[in-house]
Amino acid sequence: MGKTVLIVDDSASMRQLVSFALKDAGYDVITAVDGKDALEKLGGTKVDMIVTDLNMPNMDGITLIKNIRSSTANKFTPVVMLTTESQDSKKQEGRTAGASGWMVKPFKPEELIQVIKKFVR
Amino acid sequence: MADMKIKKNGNKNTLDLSGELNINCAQELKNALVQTLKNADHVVLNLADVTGMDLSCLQLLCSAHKTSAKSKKSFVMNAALPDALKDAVKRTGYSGNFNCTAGTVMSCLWKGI
Amino acid sequence: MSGIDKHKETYREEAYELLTELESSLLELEERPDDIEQVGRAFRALHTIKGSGSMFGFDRIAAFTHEVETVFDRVRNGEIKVTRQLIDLTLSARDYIKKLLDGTDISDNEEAGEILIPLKNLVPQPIDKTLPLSPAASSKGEACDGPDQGEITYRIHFGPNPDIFKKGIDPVYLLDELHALGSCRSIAYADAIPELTDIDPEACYTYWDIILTTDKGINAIKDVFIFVEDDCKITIDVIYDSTKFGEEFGNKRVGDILVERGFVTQEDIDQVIVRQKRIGEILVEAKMVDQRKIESALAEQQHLKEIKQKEQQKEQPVDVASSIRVSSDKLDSLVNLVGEMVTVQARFSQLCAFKNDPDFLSVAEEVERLTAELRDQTMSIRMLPIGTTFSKFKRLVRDLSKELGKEIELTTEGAETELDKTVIEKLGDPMVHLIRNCIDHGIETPDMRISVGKPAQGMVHLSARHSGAYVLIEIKDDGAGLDADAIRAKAIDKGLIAPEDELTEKEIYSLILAPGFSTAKTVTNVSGRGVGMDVVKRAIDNLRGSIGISSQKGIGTTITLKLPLTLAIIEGLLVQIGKEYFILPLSVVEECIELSREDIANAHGRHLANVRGQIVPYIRLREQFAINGKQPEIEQIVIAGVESHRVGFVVDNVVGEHQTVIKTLGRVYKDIEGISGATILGEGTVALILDISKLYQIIEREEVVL
Repeated sequence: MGKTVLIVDDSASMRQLVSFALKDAGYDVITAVDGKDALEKLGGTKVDMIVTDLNMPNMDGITLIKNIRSSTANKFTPVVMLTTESQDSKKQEGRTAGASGWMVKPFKPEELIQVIKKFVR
Repeated sequence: MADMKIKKNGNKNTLDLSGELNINCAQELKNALVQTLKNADHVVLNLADVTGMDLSCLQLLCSAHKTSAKSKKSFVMNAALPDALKDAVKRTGYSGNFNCTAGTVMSCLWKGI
Repeated sequence: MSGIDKHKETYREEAYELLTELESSLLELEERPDDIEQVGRAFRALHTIKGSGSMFGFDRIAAFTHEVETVFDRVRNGEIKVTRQLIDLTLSARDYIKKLLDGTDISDNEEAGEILIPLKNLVPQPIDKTLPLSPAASSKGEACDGPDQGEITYRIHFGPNPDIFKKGIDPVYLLDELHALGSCRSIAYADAIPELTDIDPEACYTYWDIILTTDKGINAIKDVFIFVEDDCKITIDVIYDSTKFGEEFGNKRVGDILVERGFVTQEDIDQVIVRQKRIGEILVEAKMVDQRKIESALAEQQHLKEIKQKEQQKEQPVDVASSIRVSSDKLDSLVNLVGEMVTVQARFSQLCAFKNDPDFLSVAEEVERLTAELRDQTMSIRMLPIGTTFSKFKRLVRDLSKELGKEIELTTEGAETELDKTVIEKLGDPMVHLIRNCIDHGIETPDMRISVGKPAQGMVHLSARHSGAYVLIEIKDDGAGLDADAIRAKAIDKGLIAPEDELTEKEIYSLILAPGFSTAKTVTNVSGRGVGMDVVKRAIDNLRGSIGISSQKGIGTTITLKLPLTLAIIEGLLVQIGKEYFILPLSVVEECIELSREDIANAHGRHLANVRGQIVPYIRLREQFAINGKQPEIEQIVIAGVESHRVGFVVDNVVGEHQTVIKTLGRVYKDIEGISGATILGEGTVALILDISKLYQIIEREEVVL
């Protein structure tokens, strides 16, 4: 059974690059342009993994993570945040909100897949 | 998906578990175990149709076992444990003997796996 | 367009849009400098241009935009006010980024400086000038693949944060990753799991000790924990480094491991070490340490042992000259000498004990230890893998099955199992007999097999494995199985049993081992002259072994040979009757109980003892061997297990365990029933070794007479 990954990023090019790589690795991919869109796309269904950017209009990544953690369906779903800020403050904020891991941009798509494999089997 | 069923028969309660038991149904499993232990002297777990079990659910089984031992209830798993469960026990490093029921007549659930 | 070019094109389009976005937000800001929302908009545009830029290889854009973004981050945090100058500079920055995107102005760095320097001057404190965008600063992975660092063994303690599940992480996945790095054992601790009423089902209460041997280096281990290292208790210690020489290793004692881990103190160990028990057991009894911690320490000990063995195996091929051929005569005489040595040593120890001089005693102890080691080493030299014998049978099976028109496949298992050379030599003939029997009587013809729904090809499986001081050899076929009724009828016919005798299935099967027995209706070339099985039985008896038969009609037969590892030395139980000493092989002894005069009286003259409700017949060895003198008030019965029966041997005293070097008796004594050999005791007297199964047959016979 294919595993479903939700990708949340306001950058179309990022969404394209990441979903291209993930589909190539055999994952089913859903994309969303920001946190609000992500929550709408999820509805009440469970996905296997969520990859989200932090800085996004309408609803940022941190708020999205908090929302996911208080939901029923995806309370325990692994969430990896994508960030350019390697500063600890942002990372820490994301982790407190319930992120499972992070990925510092720039990264190679294979590296993201490696990280996803840490969480999804 | 996991399925849980409690059968009450006098002072013996049987809990049938099947399917994939993981963190998403941990709360449900806890409730089921609490119900199974209630008003029973003998607790039987039927795990024959379990297809997978994660750490959170293993912890719950240990907890229920420990609790039964303290209150002098018998607590047994049906003889034939499915391979999926044995694998889970091995993978989590749970095999062997925890000795958490030391001082009671019960031995560890996972002894010998 | 290739994949990456396509992505680049998408990025460029997106970046142009973002630049427009940036421009319009800046213009809005010029009107209303306090509009926080517009600041955020501008920041996000810059952020995305930078982030995605670095992803698609627009490094100059990323580096430049990073600087502008850093300034805008400060604006966002209210550290810098929105001024006309800021907006002017940012607008020029936007134009510069556009030029970079267009691909013009690749060479000129001056313009960048003209924008960035005054922009940075707007920042109150000097800001970090390093660009975090060189490829080396990427997230992870670079440092961890240090090639071939040699294998290092680590001890990892992993105590996850109770909330780890709520972060979407299953800690067991991390264990899996460690297992993927090398040879790994994990021991979980469950003592923190609360009772059912108090447990939070979504919290993690388990923690682990993990022993891992890997050549991937410590960074690979740290990488496993990269996302949890701040929330979880993780310690990683090196416990053995194969690249460092001369380290004490492989035979670490459990006590040392426990002290190293801080579970107990050295004083605790010293306190208990005087008592001669396993240190772990004592510590648990004394409640100084938890059972699970001992298990964990034992796992570590075992792990290190295995690593050491593996290393030695790896070294072996280098040492090509490490094996030499020695004539077996030399080996035999070496074994004899060692046997003498063991005897003399026992005597020496006894003398020293008698003298009770501490200096002598310590030397005697040393000698005892060395002798034991010498004995074990010598015995191991004589050990050969059984595989060579197995391979001989391949040909046998092939030829025989062809001759009989049967299709048979021979499979083997445990060819590496080692046995004493003499045992292997004497095992060949009986094995041939047994395999012949399998092929001839056991496996059916292909037609018959198909008619009962079996594959046309029959199977004979040979396996060998260790079991204590014995080796078990199994010969298993998937043939017709033994026909208990036919065997019974035949045995009655031959007068081996009476028609009214009630026999268990096992007893019936063992009849085929009796002399003069054959069930095959036609006598073939291969077997069936009725001499096979009793010859086998005698050969195995001579090896101090036993034969077990189990069979299921229509499914197959399994014959199990139980053989001692060696013929030269056995563990014995030394007993005394009058002034005579005897040895019983310890392997058959089950327990020793007392026999009082009263018990004898209660049994009304019959030689039966009541052992916890079970009636056990016994032999009075004093009578059996006609030993003079008066029996003591309370005698001892040594209960032994013989062919699944329990039988007692009455002696005056049980002296204790004895390392018995077996001497064969001279020809004159060869036919004495019930004695299989002799040994020389420490002080020089001779003790006879009892042949338990022969003695059992004697009482069986006597019972019939009774």
